[in-house]
Amino acid sequence: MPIIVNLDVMLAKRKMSLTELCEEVGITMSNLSILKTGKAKAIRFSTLSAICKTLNCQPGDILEFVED
Amino acid sequence: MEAQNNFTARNMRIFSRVLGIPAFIVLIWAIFVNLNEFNSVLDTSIQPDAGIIIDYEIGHLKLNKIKASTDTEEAYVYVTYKGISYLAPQENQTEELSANFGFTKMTGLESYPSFLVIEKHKAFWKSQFYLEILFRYAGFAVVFLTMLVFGELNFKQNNKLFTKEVKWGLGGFMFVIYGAYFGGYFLYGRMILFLNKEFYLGESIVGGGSQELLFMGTILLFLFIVFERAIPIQQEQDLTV
Repeated sequence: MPIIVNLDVMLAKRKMSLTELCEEVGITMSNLSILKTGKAKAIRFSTLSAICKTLNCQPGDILEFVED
Repeated sequence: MEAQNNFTARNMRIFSRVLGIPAFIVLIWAIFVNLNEFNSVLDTSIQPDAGIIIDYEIGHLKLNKIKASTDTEEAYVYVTYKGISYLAPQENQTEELSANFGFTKMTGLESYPSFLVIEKHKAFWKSQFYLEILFRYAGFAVVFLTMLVFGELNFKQNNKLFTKEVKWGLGGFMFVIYGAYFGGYFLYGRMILFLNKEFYLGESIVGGGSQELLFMGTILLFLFIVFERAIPIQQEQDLTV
């Protein structure tokens, strides 16, 4: 998958734990781990905007395209 | 919610085990009873009263024992196969129908072939009946076991329907059904081959397969294909956050 999820980088920058993000965004820990570990096949705009709002960042800060 | 799911799954497992173990005992008991009943009809040393027919029937096969009169010491055993029937020729049918008007003897318009069991054929008939009994009851056991496993798997999948385990459960069930279909062909072919050789019956050895089983197998094959297609879609859904 050429899309890399930099969620852990953003979490570190904001000094926020995964559990705190779960509570703020309102999605389950298992779904957030799927996203964090790069196993996710798709992400809903609603989830993305909730994460961006909580972490005060842009979608590009979380998602990155890398050539295979 | 999780606790409720676990409770339901545990209850289902307990229920299926409580139901499954006695069902297996009943099936083994049924095989034993059937074998005993069959052997008592086949054994000519146990004789019925004159004119009384003792019979044992499984599927299309029927074993009969009769003592024609009190004068004779011998009881005759014969096998009737109900899977093949013959119609009387048109002229005989008309004759028999008109004879029936006069309350004379009615021999029947449709008949099933019967074969006298002689000493040298006993081994064959014994094996044929044993295979039929085993085929039926072992078939029930396998179908029951497959459904039990299927039930257990289904409740272990966090309420997801399209899983690999359920797909292989369906595949296993389909395999059993097709196995039964071809098993029926084998048993029929084996018997007709023997009858053609010993009694010059002249019947085709193919045609013993059950259409219901074929239909059921096809439905299961269709479901298997649906699962094959649906699992990747569900997995993708599961990995959408």
